[in-house]
Amino acid sequence: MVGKPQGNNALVFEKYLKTQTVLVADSNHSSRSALARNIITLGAKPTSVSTASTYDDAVTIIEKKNPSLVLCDYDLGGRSGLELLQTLRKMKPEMDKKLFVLVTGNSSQSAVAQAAEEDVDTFILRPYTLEVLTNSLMRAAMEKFQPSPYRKTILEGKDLLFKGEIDPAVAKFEEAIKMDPKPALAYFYIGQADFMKEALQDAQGQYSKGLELNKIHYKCLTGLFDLLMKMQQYNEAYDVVKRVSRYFPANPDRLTQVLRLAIMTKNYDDIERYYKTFINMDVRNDELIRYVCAALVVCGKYYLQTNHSSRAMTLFTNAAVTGIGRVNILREIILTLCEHDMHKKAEDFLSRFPDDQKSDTIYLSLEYLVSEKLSDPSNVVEQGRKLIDGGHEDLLIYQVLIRTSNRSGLNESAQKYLEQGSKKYPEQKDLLQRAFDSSTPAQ
Amino acid sequence: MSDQDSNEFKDDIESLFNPEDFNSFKLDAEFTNESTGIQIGNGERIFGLHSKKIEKDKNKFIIEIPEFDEESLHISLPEKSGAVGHKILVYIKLDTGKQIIEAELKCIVKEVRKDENERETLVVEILDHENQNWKYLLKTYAERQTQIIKFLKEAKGW
Repeated sequence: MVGKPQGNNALVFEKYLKTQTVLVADSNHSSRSALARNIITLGAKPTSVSTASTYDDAVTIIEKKNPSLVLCDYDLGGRSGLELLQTLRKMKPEMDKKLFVLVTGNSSQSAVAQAAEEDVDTFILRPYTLEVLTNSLMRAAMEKFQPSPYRKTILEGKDLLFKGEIDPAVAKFEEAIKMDPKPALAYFYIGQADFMKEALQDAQGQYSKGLELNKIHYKCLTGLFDLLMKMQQYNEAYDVVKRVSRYFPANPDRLTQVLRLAIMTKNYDDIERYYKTFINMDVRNDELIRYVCAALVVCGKYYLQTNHSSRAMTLFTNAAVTGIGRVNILREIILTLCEHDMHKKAEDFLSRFPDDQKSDTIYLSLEYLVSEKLSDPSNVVEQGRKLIDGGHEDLLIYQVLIRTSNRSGLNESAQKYLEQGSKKYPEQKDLLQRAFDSSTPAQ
Repeated sequence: MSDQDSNEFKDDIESLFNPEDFNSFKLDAEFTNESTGIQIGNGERIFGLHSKKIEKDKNKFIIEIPEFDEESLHISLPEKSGAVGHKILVYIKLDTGKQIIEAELKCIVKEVRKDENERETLVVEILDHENQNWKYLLKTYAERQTQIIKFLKEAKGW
């Protein structure tokens, strides 16, 4: 069988491992123990290798032992291994002396892209061979601890930049440009320097130069995006963020930005595609869900306005399903459908309200609005009065009651509720007046 | 952004988000211990040389392969699946999303390591490691590993 790799590099690596404190974090026992065993075979001291099966255990070990080499699965028992990297950076900021390695069976492009975004030191696909494990770790260690002249110069420049010494930093980056055939990172940092000096056009030029050399350079892409947003060039920013999402598909924050920009730039046709991306994502935070629901509703409204009602209904349904329990989404959908005289369809969405909220004013007001076109006017008036008298003095209820009273010839009643509603909602007096005026029968 | 880049993305709009971007390689395995008659796979264990009994448990009867190379496999299984010297047959199926690669390997158990949760890892030597499908499967993994490293380098810029 193939054993421990040999050779000079392997010996150097063994020497390096002997001095490291290692953490192996993996929720799967056999993977975790196999990896720990292999690291010891390669040279780490058994007493310096700790293992963790959960995110919380891993954090505890980081606190106590400050590991210099972390090998982590992508999925850490419901939490992301990349989240552990973020935590490690916050807890122990001296990351230039540490290695963080993903060792995972997840070979999806989205996982790889996230690893690149988070700047992991390397990514090892499982099942791995001992040779791949060794070579990958050795390469990552060499790149970090014996950096190339290019990398070293960039790091020196970065140090100066963060100290605010912009011109010396730029001199370093310009030096670095000559050291690499594709110095996109050097251009990125010169762009950052220009950004700091508020020379935005120059910064844009630098990021673009970087992207000409390497069109998937993450920092240049995101730098350019941030710049275009600052310059309020939203169409251009949308093109860039789509490009970022093309190569780095799984970032929830990125998808939120894409959705916002799609709406701002009226690229409604793209929203449905982004929804497909969203439903494939493993991690969906609350903010993303809110944005997705809002985007679907806005898009649905657009389709209703452009007479694509079945497409609109699909989007509204997707929004309602995605935002399950979010009554503000349902409210928006129901209001929109009623505006378009689609009260029967609105009634379907009413049924999605959680049972425990069906006695709340928000539900009752929407139910009442839907009933305006579906029930007998006298029943609508009666129901409205009951709601108002029962303390559900919602603006929407007043509007419907005023309209229906007027249309039913109950002019005095309508007037009474106009006055009552205007007193309750003085800032909405005009809205209530319009409800009255629009429903007053012609003389 | 250049006109060419703009056009690339206008033309490429259909592939802008590829659902396969979220799909990982899927590796499944089935195990037959030819020495004892035990078979494990698809969430089932079949055992008993003469009267075959079937136990079903999707969470318990799973097989994982954390490590491999051309001549050996580490197979994680429920405990008491094998012992040193046992002859076993391992069927491996890799679904990359674009193709399916299958290999059936004749192996012999070299080592048994006890794990937590009533599981064990069998370290097995592959007897027919010239198996072309097996070599192709390993090559596919190696290619994906190389692709990943290349992407990381490009994306990070070093």
